[in-house]
Amino acid sequence: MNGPDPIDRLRKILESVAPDLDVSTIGVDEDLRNDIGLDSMDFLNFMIGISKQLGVAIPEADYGKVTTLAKCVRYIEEQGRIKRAPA
Amino acid sequence: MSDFRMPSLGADMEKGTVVEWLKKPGEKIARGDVVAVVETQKGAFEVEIFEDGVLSEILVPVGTEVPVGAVLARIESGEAKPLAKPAPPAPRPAVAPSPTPPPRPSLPSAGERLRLSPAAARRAAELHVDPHSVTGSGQGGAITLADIEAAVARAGRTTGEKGRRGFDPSAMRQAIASAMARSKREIPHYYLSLPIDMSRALQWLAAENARRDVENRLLAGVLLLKATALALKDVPELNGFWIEGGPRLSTGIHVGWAISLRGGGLMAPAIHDADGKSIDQLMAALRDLVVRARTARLRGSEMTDPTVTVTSLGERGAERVYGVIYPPQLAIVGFGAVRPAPAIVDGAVAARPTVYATVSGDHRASDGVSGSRLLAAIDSRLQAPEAL
Amino acid sequence: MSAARRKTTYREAVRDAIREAMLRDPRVFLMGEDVGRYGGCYAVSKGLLQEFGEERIRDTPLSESGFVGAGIGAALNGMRPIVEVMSVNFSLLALDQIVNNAATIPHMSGGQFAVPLVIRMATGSGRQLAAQHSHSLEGWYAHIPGLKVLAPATLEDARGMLWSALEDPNPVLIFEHVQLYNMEGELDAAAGAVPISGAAIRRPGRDLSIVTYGGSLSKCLAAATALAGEGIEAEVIDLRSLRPLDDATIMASVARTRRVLIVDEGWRSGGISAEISARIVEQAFYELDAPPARLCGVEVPIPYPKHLEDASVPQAESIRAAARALVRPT
Repeated sequence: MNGPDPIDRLRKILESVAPDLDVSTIGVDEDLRNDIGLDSMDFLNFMIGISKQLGVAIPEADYGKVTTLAKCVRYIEEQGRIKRAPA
Repeated sequence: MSDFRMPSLGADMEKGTVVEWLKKPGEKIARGDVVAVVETQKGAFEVEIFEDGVLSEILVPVGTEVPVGAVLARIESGEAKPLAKPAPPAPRPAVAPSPTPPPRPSLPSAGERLRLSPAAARRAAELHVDPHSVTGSGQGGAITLADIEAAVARAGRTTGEKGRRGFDPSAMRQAIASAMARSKREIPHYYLSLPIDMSRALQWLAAENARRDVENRLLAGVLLLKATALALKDVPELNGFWIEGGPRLSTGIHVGWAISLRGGGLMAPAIHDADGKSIDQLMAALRDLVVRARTARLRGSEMTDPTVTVTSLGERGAERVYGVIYPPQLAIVGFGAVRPAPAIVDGAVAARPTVYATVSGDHRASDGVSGSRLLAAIDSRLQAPEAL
Repeated sequence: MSAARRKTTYREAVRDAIREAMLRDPRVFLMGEDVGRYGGCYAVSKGLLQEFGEERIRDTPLSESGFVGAGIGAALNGMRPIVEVMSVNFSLLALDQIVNNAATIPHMSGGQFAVPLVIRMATGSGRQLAAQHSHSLEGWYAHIPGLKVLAPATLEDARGMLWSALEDPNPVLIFEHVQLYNMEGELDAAAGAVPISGAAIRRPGRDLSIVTYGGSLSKCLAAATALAGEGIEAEVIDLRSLRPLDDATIMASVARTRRVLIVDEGWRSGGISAEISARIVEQAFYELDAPPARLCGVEVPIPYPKHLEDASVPQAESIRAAARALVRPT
């Protein structure tokens, strides 16, 4: 993935989902549910955000593959469809 | 002319601070308008008005802490009909939230009279502070004006500078502590549990979500919520309040959904008339509620309206949760994590996804048989997810 | 006349006040023991005999009752006498004239007779004059209806109260504290008459009100300055008039500060401080955050030795301690 740091883009989405979090402190390998404390509603909203912003619809069955920011990026890259934001 | 008062946004609330006026004197107001933002131990809430009229006078400026029941503003009624008080609207609970009378300092007997300066006594009365709870710093341990004001400042020190508007974790802890202590002190709980086979519900959910867009996916929690709301229709004696020594059942089923806050603490705002909402409507309501709880945009009425509480631990965590009833409600329903568990199916042992449903009931208002019927009703609803 | 200021003393300010009165009104004359040739026991009237002559600066026999009574008679007959009594202790010899005559005649005559008399007397301790010359009995006079009782504590009041007192149709007693005569300061060259009613806030403050008058004012102000150094802002009220008392100013101040210390060199029992305290409790009870406190003279005849004399009346340090105890108990 080139262009804007994809981790930052995911953090932005996360911030809109959970405005009470300081997303800049979230490590790429931290478990979003267990370490960060996203509940099922937050996580669903995060999935919705990814779908809307990045055009990647992650099926429920794949939730286990996107438990951290790093895993999310890998998953999305595998889909090969992450959109490049204007520079 | 009527009074707009500091509402009680929960059994544990004694005072609140007006942090914002959203209407100006002279402005027209209609029932349901958010008039002010009030900060409590549980954070900031938007407070609505329950009548039409004109805001004639603001009595409590922004930043002022006042006790529950204090007059915040005066409302000039649309029509000057002092006795024609509008009945509460249909979706409101049978028990309209009424401002609880401010706590009155109890008078000590002559033998152990409090040493309280006249100025402190008057201020304590104004602020509805019980001087017995205040340590005196004056002559001979006398309670002075400054002691009263410091006590109020300590009790109400919440500012909006943190991430969540008006959220102070220690104040929140205090609020929970007082409500839960009151519950355990006053309410004789009984506890029941029932393992519920979630195979059908989860299969139905997986199939639904597979064919839905991401935005329209459902959460298992919504099924639990709806099943509980419907079950309460069958067991109404667990839905309502214990007030003035007796049960006051509610016709509306307003489920307080427990939302834990990442800064610590939790709240359980109302999903109104949950039994009458579709699964999709409930999903939308829940999403809205969670976001607003996290950003402190809840309405005051959402804090006072719940007629029952549901706490769901989600996919992770403990197997069973026996909740502590939030006074003055009559029951709290809990759901543990959904886990595979051995079950007897057609005479054979099989692994089935299972959730333990629990109910803690107020034994003053109902007996175990009611709680048992409620759990059975929840079970049977969850066995027919398509009908939820 | 410009607003130029000139250095002066309390003594000179009183003398200037007498001179002004003599010059302005031919009905004014001064009489008392040693006011003429000796120039006054506190040298207030030095030089006035030379300037105004024996007719108007009159030495009297050592008979307070006699010459105070003569002053009352002169006032009744249209004069504007200033009678000087050496000290308040000696004024007791004239109590009958002051209380039974001066204070009552306007009343008993149904208002037909006014007694526009001014009696000046020295009061207070601090000059090692011992127990027969050092007491503060002005509070007694403040008990008497029909009298006005003034206590100038500043150069402005020393300069300005006399003329207003002479203009007043009632007998007015002016108490000059003996320690103030040497007080130096600057006074507006144009200084003149000042109102004789109403208290003055000499220093504003938020933490307590110190109510005082006369010789204790400067001590209270010194204490207030020291208290400010420890973070206590004292409001200092100069009563100026002990009868009538300016209740409004006192109560307004107490309502702001909620604590009050009354400083009075007179004895505590039955003194003017007791009256002030009672009025505060009557009128401002619900404003109070602590019981009203009094710092008064020790209840002994004023001793002669300097250290005992100093210890027997409020001083800046004891005022400071009393104020601190009121604001920060324990």
